Amino acid sequence: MAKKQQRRKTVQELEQPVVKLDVDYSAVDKEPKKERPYGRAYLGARSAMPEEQLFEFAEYRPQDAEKIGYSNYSYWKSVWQNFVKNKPAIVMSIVFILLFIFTFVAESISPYSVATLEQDNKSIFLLPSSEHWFGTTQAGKDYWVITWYATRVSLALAALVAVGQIVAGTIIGLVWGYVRKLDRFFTELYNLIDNIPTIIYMTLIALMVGQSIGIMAVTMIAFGWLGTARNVRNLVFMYRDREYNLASRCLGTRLWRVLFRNIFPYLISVIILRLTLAIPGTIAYETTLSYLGLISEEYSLGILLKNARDSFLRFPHMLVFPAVIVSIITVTFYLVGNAFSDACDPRNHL
Amino acid sequence: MLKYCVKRLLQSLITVLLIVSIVFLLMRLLPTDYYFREDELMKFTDEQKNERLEAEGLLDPPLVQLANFYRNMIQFQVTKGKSVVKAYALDQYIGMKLRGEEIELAKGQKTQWAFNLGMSRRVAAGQPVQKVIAEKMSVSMQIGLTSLAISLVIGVTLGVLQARKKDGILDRVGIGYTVFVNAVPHLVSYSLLLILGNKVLGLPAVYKAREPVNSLILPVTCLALGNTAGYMLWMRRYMVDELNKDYIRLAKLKGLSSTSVMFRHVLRNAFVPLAQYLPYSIVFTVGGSLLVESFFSIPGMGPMLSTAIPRYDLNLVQAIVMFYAILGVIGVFLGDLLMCLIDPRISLIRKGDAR
Repeated sequence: MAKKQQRRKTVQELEQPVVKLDVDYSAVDKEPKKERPYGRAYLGARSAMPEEQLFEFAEYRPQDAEKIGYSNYSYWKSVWQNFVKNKPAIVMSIVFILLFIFTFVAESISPYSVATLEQDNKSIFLLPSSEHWFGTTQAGKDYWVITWYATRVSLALAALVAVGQIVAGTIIGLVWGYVRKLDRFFTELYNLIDNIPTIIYMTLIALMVGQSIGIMAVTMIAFGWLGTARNVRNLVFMYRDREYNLASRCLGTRLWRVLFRNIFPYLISVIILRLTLAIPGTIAYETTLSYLGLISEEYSLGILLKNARDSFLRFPHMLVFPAVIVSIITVTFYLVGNAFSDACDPRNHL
Repeated sequence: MLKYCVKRLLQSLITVLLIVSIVFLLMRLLPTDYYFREDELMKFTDEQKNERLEAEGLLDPPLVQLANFYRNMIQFQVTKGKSVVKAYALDQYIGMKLRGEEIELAKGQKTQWAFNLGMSRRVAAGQPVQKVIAEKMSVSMQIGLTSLAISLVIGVTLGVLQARKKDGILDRVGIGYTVFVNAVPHLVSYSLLLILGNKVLGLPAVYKAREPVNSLILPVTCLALGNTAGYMLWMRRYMVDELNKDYIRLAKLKGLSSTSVMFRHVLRNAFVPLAQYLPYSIVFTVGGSLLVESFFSIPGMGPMLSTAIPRYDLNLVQAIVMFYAILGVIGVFLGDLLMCLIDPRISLIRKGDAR
């Protein structure tokens, strides 16, 4: 640590201008105030210089020699700087964070709560009013609390499934790509699972094991790791036989260390991208599954959208509220994911 | 090339057989009550049920059942009028021929070869499953092909225009559209479209057999919505990638006009990756779209699987799975062939199996 600090110090010294030239930069430069950090003559200033100053013998300076090898470029810092430049993604992230916090507050500021909602035949399909902020459902229940409760359920499911898929996919992908003997096996397994419509597994499991949000989550993870695993496997294939890994293996590095210290860092950007895209994917998938009657949860955004199908032509409030919330969530993650993947591309840095 | 095709198709055949076998065995995990129609379940006693199952060979070990399923896939049938009197599996028929036995025909009976996947038990009781599928297929194909044609024309054109004026107004609007379609769940965008179509244009909200054209406008639009976005997105992406290449710079330096560079060089090269998916999409129009068809209650292929499974129509499920597996295999295969045709630099033979 001390050593590192010392190095930093010398580097800071290095960044001081070594040679100060008596040149009026303002003749050629629109930003004259900016101090040129480097000792070398600023190229643009050439035209303003007297001819004898144009060339000089380079002396040997050990400090300068060291400077070439140093750059204060940091990958993640550049990723962050590039990401912040993407205005729509940032705006949507803020909206989403506010929405997320609000899902926990929403129920407590309403006079109703999900646990005590009762069927009320007198107040069927009421439009939004000061009494019922989002109106009421076909059973006369307050739609405000239902919608926010459903949002929480859907977000929890999406987060759980997305994290599960990515973790399982990454681990399997690493093994698949790294252990050659298993490649054939995993490829066949992939083809097999990928070729059978997922809806078959989903329905069979729903029928034989039961229908609950937990089982649904496990099923979605069990069949959702394929995409990530294949992506990770292809990347591992690219890096596993690079020279640094050959050297590492020759020196007797243990398998897990090669996987997690040598190869894994290259995968982080892809993994985060997949994670951000898995969340809207799961929510969209959940709406489809609810539509097919495969989710038994009482309230989730998918279920609300499905229930709205029969009534929204007459009572648009049934559709509008869940649809807007779903769209905010999915669009946010989609934009953030894409902005992040653009920011991760080193070609866009600097 | 021919050798490669044959090898590839044989491999695909094995994949299809594996898939069908696995689904077959999975379905045998279900309770045997599901082999009966709802009304039969009510009347029959346990003994009657067992007798019936025994007679149909449904109590055999699953692997024996699987073997029987494959044996009976091609049958030599003795028919009278429209009903099948007796059916021989392929190996039974060959055995009889070898032993020199003849099949005796009563008066009015005819013989025929038939492809047999069993009868539908619940969804369309008593009908051969291939007939059920064939009926649904045509509806799905109409919707699918129309929307594919629309979205291909609009999507590719818009994608080209977007790439041509990158960061222009059209490009931004196009990107906004693709983000909207890809990010917002389809159920939401279909609902919006349905409100628009139903309230403003007065189109029917669900499929009505009496006005097939009017009631298919909305489903076709919904289906085209997503496809168009897909073609726009990828067309633009591939074109932009291609535009930065050296040969394009050379073409521009030579003094070719921007239009001719776009169409003669960029479009043709950028279309190659898209071409690979084209046959797949065409073939899969037969398979229908699950969400659109169930959203608009269209009697097509799309929702068949999800209606057949909860109603335990096992023969139908098997047939549909086999159908989809074959479609998928053929689609990918044709896609690879088409890609080879368009781009002579790509060779399938050197690469070995493409997946």
